Amino acid sequence: MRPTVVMRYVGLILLLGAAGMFASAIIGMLLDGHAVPVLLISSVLVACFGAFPMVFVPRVKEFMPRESLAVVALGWLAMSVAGALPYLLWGSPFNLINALFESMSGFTTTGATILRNIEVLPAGLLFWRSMTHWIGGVGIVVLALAVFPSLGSGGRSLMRAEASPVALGPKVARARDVAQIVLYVYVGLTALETLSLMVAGLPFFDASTTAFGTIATGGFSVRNASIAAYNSVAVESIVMLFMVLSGVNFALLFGFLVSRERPQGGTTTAFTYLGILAVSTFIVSLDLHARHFGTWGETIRHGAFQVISIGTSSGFATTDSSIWPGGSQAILMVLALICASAGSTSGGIKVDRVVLFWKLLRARLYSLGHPDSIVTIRVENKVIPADSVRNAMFFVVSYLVGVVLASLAVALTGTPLVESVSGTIACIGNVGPGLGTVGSVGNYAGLDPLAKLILAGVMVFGRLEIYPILLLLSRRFWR
Amino acid sequence: MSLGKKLLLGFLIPVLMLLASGIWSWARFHNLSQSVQALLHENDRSIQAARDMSIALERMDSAILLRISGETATADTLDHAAQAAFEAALDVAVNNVTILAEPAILDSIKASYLEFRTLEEALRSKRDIKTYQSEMMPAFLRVTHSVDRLRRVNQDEMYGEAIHIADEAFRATLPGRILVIAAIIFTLMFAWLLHEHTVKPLNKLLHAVKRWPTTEHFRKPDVHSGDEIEELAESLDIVERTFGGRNKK
Repeated sequence: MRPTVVMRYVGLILLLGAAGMFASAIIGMLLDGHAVPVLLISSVLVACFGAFPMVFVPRVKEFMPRESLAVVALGWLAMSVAGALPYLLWGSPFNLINALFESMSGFTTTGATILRNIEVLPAGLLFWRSMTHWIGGVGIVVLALAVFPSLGSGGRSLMRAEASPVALGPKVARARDVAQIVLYVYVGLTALETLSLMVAGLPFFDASTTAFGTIATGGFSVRNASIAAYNSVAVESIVMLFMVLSGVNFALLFGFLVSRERPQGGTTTAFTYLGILAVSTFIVSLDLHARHFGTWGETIRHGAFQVISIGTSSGFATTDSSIWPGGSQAILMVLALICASAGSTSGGIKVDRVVLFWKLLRARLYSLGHPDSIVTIRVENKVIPADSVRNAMFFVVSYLVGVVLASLAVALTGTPLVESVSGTIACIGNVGPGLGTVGSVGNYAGLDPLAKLILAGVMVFGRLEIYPILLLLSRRFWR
Repeated sequence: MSLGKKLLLGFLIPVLMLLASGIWSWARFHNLSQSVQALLHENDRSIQAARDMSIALERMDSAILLRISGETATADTLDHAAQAAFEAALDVAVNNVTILAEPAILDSIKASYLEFRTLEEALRSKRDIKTYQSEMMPAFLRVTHSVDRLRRVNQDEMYGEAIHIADEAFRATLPGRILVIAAIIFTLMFAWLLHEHTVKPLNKLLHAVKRWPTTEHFRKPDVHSGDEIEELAESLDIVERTFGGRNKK
């Protein structure tokens, strides 16, 4: 392990944050000018910390696996701390813990907020808040790879450390090419949604920040009432469409739209993901009709929006789902556990692993009836190595154990059980809204500071799929 | 980058951070002191004016009671002085409107005062306590109530502003503290990088030079600092390759 090399590349990642703060300062200057000094000072400060290690530490050609993991895990943590600076410098309602929570929620694309009144914040700060979603959504390392050629050949191991192990990439050799493909899809979708929302009548500021939150499957809105504030079927439909698209593996989207090459297994996952959303919408609509909404139109409108919002780990809201019947809430919580496809910007266990789990269950049942048979797991006629299946199942178990332990820890701070469990599921899955006071129209402001810290930590655990952060905590890792 | 530039950057950045911290805190505290001055000057003037009006009203009330008890001359003197004091205080309040609700309150003070004065002059000939209690007293209470409202509104505003200033004070000191902490962390980072990428290579070079006479061979240490230390290691390697061979011959 070469700690100064890790420091150099964490610094490189921080430069992205500094650039984002600078861009937000410019937007702030054009709109209301209130948070400009705060954003500029933060930008310069973060840039100093990011650039200075490069003065001393030379470039390296290759990373050791441990260094890649350390760069990714520390990069995410450093970026979250740096991202809290503008909030801290702004002051009320942000204290140290609130600022960290908001920043981690932004970068991990969770979308959980401690803000009771969002609309009182200046435009520049709100833009930065949405930009943290956009930077974190695509992955800070992927973004760094696409922007900085200096990451070079070591980029592949960095990218492997950040991406979900079950994510299926496009068939290109260089890590930088993969990063650029992902970035093309990401920027393309963001631009398309911004334009569509502007056509639907939103001003540029609202359209762009909503697009940042949608494509990153984050959920930060610049309005207190989230998407409900616009009360527009057109806006809701556009947001729904882009939430669904953002939950699909980007390599599959790129293959479908540009290269005509599809990653192995991606189509099965995509159809399963769309099927889960459709079935959930149907059941939730049946459960809600006549109990909460008068017409089928209204029922499907709000039911579909909330299902897609939670099922893609976005977290936008058009209605208060915390007052829905228990059945609908249970479906939303299951969706918050699963979320969308690997290789997208969503969190959770991911549909890819659910598909593997389902195939494994069927194979297990078959082998019980045919004890002498050798059963293989196949996705789209390709045999999945036993090692990959075992890793996926181990992840599911670790994830659920993580949910139980974190819920327990949050509950021990005095948080009610519903908020503890649903808040933990929502934060580890990077979904945002849970149930009760932390529901779709609520916030996390009322939680104990320790509970906020635990949930902020849980968000990073979920975003990096547990292991990189666990490794950071291991003493052997640093030897 | 040369060693000199590296060192200069390492020392300059924390100094700039501390300087920024100082300027930021100074600017915020300057704004804060101006807010405090404005707060004291504007709201306190209105509160003082309301107090003066209340005292003047009390004196007018005393004059009415003196008139009832037959001391007309003293009552007239007191009443004239009280009227002048009230009107002067009202003038101050009218010229110092800082709160949205103040104009309406001032209008109600003017209206109720006019009513009180008209009634007082009309009933001056009726020197009995019953007329005072039934007619004068309610009119008097209406004016004092309006004046009280003016005082309360300004006090509330002052309290609200004080809370806002407490928040501003926190915001004024926080960036300074953050920049100071950042400067400390930066200095520690600089010290570590200096140790890893300047002191360690220098030690490696020193070790190699010390071993040179005993081994009669200079083994170039693995130095990639990109500055004068790396240049020195390469120069010594050139010296070894140029003169080392000759000595062996």
